[in-house]
Amino acid sequence: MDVAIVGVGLHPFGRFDISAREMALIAARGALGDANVEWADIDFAAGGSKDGGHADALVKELGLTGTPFMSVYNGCATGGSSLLAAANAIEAGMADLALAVGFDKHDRGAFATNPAEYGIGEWYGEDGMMVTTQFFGMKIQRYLADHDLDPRLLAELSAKALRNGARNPNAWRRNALSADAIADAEMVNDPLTKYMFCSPSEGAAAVVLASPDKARELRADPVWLRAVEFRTRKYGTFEVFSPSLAAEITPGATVYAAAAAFETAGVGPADIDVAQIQDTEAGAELMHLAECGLCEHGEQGELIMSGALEIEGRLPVNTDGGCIANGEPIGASGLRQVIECVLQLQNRADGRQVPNDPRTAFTQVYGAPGLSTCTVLAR
Amino acid sequence: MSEVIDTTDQRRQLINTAGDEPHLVGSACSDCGTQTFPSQSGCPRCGSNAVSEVALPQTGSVWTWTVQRFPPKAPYLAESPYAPFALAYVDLGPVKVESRLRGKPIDSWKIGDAVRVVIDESVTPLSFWFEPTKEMQ
Repeated sequence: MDVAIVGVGLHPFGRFDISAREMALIAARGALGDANVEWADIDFAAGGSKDGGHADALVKELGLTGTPFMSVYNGCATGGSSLLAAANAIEAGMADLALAVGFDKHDRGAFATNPAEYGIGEWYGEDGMMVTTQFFGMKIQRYLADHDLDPRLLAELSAKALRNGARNPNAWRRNALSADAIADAEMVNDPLTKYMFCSPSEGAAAVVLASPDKARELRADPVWLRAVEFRTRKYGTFEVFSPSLAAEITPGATVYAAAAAFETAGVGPADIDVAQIQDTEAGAELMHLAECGLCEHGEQGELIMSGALEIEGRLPVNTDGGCIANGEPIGASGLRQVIECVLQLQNRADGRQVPNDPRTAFTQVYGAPGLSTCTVLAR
Repeated sequence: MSEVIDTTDQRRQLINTAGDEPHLVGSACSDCGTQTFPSQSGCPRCGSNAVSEVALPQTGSVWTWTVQRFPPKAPYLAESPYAPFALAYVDLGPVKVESRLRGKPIDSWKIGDAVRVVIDESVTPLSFWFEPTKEMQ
């Protein structure tokens, strides 16, 4: 893929008094300003939000230029889908400059989901099983047992997220907590305690993409989007909102999206200098590390306890604090990951810069009902 | 606030209490053998619509489990006061079924625990749950 990222804009994640669309406008204008272009220069836009309103309605304030603006929604992977739509518009030659934007503002507490939207009977919700967090608990419970991993690793990963969040001025949770405090906190869905989950939050993120010629015209240090690959689940995966699972469990969508992203980019997991991995809860990061090929299944213990995943480590992961420290405004979350990688590759990640001049980065989002988008970015 | 939906018919399709051995009702694909719960009109594995209802095994083992320690949002039918409950995917062989667990302390469950389905329409809202097999009790 030959597409560049020439501008990024983020409204901080957390809880705010302004609407999601106001945050989206701040992020979009921030990205346009960072790229040194105007909204009128944008040939194609894509965006998504779960609870913040229609993305294409942002044109009312951005300007009614007639630009095609595609609204997308794919759960927690919405940011990946808007990025894919914008990148493909450039690859296809229909745009020299494109904008991808995501924004959201959710109620507090676990998401309430209507079973019918997932083709499931109301009885499932009445019985108390239409709950995302209990799926996370059950999935990691089995994974830890299958790979003989210590539940303590979940507390260590959450501690890393909050430690990194404390160094990121845009993060929501900026107080580091010890792994002991996290492990001893109130249990929510065994084996996950309350500090091991991300919470629904608010925020917005936007990126401006450009064709190669346009990118070189606009800035000396564009970041190249070498791959953006989107996959949905195959039969037999272990997904949220499943009244039953297959006799034989098969690899999830992340495995295929990550492998495709590496193949398209022509690099391998060993080439990655910094990565942002979906950590809806600590168990997700633990599993996704191996599903993305960044380690073998069962190797996570050594990786975590050796400090390899820290900002100063061999493979820094979730350098901005991830979902655990930022919370998850669903539409914006995937683009936050991309923006963090861009900042790291351009050596402008204030307070949390990965040392040694990182050259290649990787992102992975995963969402209900079993889909994933992975990217490879390079200087 | 969403209106309460009558789930009586949905719940009757989950179970069969007609014979001596009440059981859960799933569907099986005539082409590839894949089973699902609840029953559905097409096969999720091969896409065939040659599927028919099948009686699921009454016993299995806990494949994974957790405890729901906070009250779920609607459409959960809340008990008052809320009592945390255990739940699991129970490995029945041809399919793993998600179900509430009862019959022992909520945090004492282990992967591999042998369980048997209980179907009791008098306990609302639950139509079914799994309990430890008699040999374990």
